[in-house]
Amino acid sequence: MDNPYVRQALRATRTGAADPELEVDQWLDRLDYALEGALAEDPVEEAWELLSMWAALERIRPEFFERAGAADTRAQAERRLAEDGPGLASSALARVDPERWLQEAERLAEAMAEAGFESEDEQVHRAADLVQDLDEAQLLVYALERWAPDEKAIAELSDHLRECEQWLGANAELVGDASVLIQAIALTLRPELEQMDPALARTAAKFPGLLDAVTAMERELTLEDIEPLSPEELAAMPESAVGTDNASDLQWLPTAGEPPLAAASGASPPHILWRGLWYEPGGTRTARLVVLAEPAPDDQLVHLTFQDIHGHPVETLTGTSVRLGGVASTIERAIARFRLGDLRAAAGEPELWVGSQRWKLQDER
Amino acid sequence: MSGNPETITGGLSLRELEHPVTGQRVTVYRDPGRVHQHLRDHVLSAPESEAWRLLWPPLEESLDFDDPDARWHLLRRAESESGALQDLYDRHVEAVRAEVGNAAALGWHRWREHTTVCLGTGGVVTIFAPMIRTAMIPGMGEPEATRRTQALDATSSCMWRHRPMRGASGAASSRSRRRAPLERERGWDRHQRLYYRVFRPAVQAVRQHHPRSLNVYGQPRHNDVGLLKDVLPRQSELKFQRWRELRDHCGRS
Repeated sequence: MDNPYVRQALRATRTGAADPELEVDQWLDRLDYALEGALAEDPVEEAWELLSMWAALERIRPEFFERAGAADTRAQAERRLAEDGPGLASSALARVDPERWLQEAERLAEAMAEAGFESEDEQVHRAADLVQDLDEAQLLVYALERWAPDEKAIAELSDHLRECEQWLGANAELVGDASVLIQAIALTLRPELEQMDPALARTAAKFPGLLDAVTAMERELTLEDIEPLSPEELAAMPESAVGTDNASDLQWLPTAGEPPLAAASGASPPHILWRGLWYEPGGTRTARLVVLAEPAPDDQLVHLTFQDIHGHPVETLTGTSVRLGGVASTIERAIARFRLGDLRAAAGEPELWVGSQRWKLQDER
Repeated sequence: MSGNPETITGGLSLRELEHPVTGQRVTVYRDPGRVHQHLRDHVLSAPESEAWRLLWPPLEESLDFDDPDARWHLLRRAESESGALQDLYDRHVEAVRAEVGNAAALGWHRWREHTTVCLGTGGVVTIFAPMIRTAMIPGMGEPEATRRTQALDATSSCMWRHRPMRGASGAASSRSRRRAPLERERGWDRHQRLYYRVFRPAVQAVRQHHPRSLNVYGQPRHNDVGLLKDVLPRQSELKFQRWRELRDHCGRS
């Protein structure tokens, strides 16, 4: 049976970076923390944690539940919920605020449209908070249905949460930065949730759509969907856009026999034919390419190296597709390799695209 | 106070402590300006100030932590006379040294590229890059309240979970908004207070931070607190009794 909550195409899922057991461990700990009375002074917070974390454990895969040793905690929670369910429910209901969630969601959309966040970190956290908080509110509704069934209150809240879920469905790409969290939570889910408990499956219904969105985003970033142009398509393009064998005046990388530009300017040692430094827009990472003037065959590989502000290799870009002057490569351990002949043949400007982002060239020639 | 002064600038002697992996002596913050900024944003700003007080009671010998005016006056005085922070800074370094020592003893540290991150049994996360960039207690307080003053310390400002679904009264975690010991806490000893109010929320914050610290490919975006996830025991293995045993093992009973 296909698991609707798993996308093996996603790299963080394949490599195990998205860690479902970490999420389970946290839910269990939060439930324990509330049961141990650490939140007793704030009944509203305590109620939210007891109800939503109990429900979170209900939908996880049995093997995770067992490995986490969650049985005692769940039994203890169920005793507490059986005793205090209605009181906890009224406390928790007082705090759920879908309107505020929608405002925050709109703020995220506006900020992303205007590049309005102070940092990438803030953007990631805002996206993750929205996903996580909506999920917990939906789990809360599920728990209320079980432990304090006030149909009118639950129906009202469910309607509001549906609006939030619709927003998320329509704007899934905006929370793509929380991709690893989304994958980690989804990986905890029992694949047979729909057959087992449709009400519980409702709390997880947003994940397949979110996973599809982050899959599309990852494909776009790695340029997996870009197919080479067919000969017919190439023929239909204006010559200036294609680059031709005799368009040497358009080539940015001179051949080895030409006078090195760097040497001509006196700015660099004479054995360097061409070198370039590109900056990540708004970031601190750089990419550097050095081509030596010594004669070399076309199939020799040259290295475009990625470094952080301290000059250390940026290993985190591994797997990212790059295009330099239209020539494609993939970063492996902070290096993208190109055939020298391909770069020699490249026409136009030495534009560098890293994923979907164009880096800015500081001309060092 | 132990620790050799490395630099004396503006009347403040910078201290050193041992790196948890290499054993090399490392300066605690780059310069007096960073010391001032760090003490202001972490040790003297509520609610983290309360956590530091619980973690390292000798800090209270430097000033009355319960008195916000006293904290504010100290900071004002230090603006023109950085040596005014020496006593507090020295005690703070002692606390960080103890935490880093715990991390070394328990293996709660992780190294990547030029950065080392470690966690002590009191909940202090220390980041070496290569000198100490920050020593802070994650999981305290509402991020909105402190973000403005912590713009230079992105690690701490993102160690908070913002909760947009919870109404105004629930915007911040209750754990962080509380100040005075409440009913239940009156029955707790200082170990329980440290465990429930400082250490456990800190570990929760570290774990919560992990998936957010990765890029879409699952690789770390920065070398920061998220790296600790793989070296920490499961939360179920960090219950109060076990934590006490670990503290005893580290000589901090």
